[in-house]
Amino acid sequence: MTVLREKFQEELSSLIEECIILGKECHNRLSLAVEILVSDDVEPARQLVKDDAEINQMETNINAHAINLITTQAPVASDLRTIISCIKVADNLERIGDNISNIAEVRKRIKITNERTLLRFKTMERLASLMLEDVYTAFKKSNLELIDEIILRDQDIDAVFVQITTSDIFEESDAFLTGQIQLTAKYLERIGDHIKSIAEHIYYIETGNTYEKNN
Amino acid sequence: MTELKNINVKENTVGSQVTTKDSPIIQTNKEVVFEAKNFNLWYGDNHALQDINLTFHENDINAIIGPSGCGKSTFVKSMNRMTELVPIVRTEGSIDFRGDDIFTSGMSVEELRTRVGMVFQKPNPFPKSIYDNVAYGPRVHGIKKKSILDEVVEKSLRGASIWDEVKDRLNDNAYGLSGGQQQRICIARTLAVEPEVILMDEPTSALDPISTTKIEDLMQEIKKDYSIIIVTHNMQQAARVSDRTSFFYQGYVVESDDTKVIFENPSDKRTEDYVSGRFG
Repeated sequence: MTVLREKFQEELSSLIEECIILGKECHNRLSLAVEILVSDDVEPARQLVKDDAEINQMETNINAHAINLITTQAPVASDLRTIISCIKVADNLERIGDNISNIAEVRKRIKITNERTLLRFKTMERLASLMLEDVYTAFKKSNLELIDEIILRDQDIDAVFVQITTSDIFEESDAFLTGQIQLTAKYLERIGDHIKSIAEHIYYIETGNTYEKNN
Repeated sequence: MTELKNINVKENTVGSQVTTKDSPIIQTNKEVVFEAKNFNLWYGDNHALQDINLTFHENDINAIIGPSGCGKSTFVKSMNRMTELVPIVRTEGSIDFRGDDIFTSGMSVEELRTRVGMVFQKPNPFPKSIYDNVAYGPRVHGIKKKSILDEVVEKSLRGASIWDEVKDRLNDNAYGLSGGQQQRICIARTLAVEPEVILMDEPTSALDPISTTKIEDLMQEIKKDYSIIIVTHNMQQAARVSDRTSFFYQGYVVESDDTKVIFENPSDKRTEDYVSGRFG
């Protein structure tokens, strides 16, 4: 049996690698975004907002590469699923980038000092970061059980979000500050949703079925 | 070769109920037109087709795909007994057409080939006029009346989507037409005897993209009246036109399923590798 299309295989691996690099970039920026909330200097927040353009460009490049592969290689079966999923994963990562940028915007507007609220944000960031790391592992090892687990773990982030927005928030007296805390909590909660979506795309690559249909 | 002994033939058919290994029972009201049961074929010592079990339903377009030498053309030719023309061919098992074994039921080759038409890779019109090409079959079947023949010729040429292009030059030699037009004349010639099944052995491989599109559109148009079994090397064509696809490899059927499944999520890795173009 002659193995063909080595060039295509290389291109496909390169497309996947671009998504992984984008994922790592989002992972780094996520922890940075929560760190700068307590920073006295507002400059890192401004820089983080500016740098969102890089994330957008990476997504654009992934889409262009994927479209080129579809046009020139007529992929089918798992190849096609992988390429389509790369487009969707890149979209989710770009949206995560937007949320990170929005958190930095909050820091540009106000410095949150409530220790407990900051700890909640740090918890949400850690939960999301670990989900993102595990999504990478699940993809590399084709681990469907880990996918199930990651998708369930999004509920933990949601629980912290509910805690902040239905309880903690009432301790703040300043209406503007309350709004900014709510926004920050919402951005972090949305990041969890996007990572959950990425896990579902990986499930689709591996099985050919959409995740919802099986649950 | 040993690994190939454990072939995953997903399809088991009981009456018109098709079951696949990984999916629930697919109920179909369509009647079975062809059914191969443990069909084997040898060219001398070469075991070219091995334990073929396949079912084809009416009004379906069935694609047969596989690398060169996998037996797909041999199988299709067996379906209207053309392999018998090769002296060293020996067969075992059966191919039932409408429930009767085509080899042992006493059906004549003429009757079988009237009911099961065939279109070949290279357009092969007779060196006659367009009209005579299409009227050839009905004349062989004893139709002599000009008015009936005119009607059959027009209906067949319309059915093959070529009437408008040739209606003013029916008496011109068919060799003067383009390759795509010649192939549609051959399809019209097949339609003229009103077969139940049309076998197509790579019918567009010698044609340009526009002619290929016309033949593919034509297949979609005529499938409401006929069952079509098409051998093709063109993966995209199989994905575009067929309802069901069977993948042949080294004389076996590796996988047979709905075309959507074969091209989106096949269950056998060899099928996946072949439709993805990783070997061939």
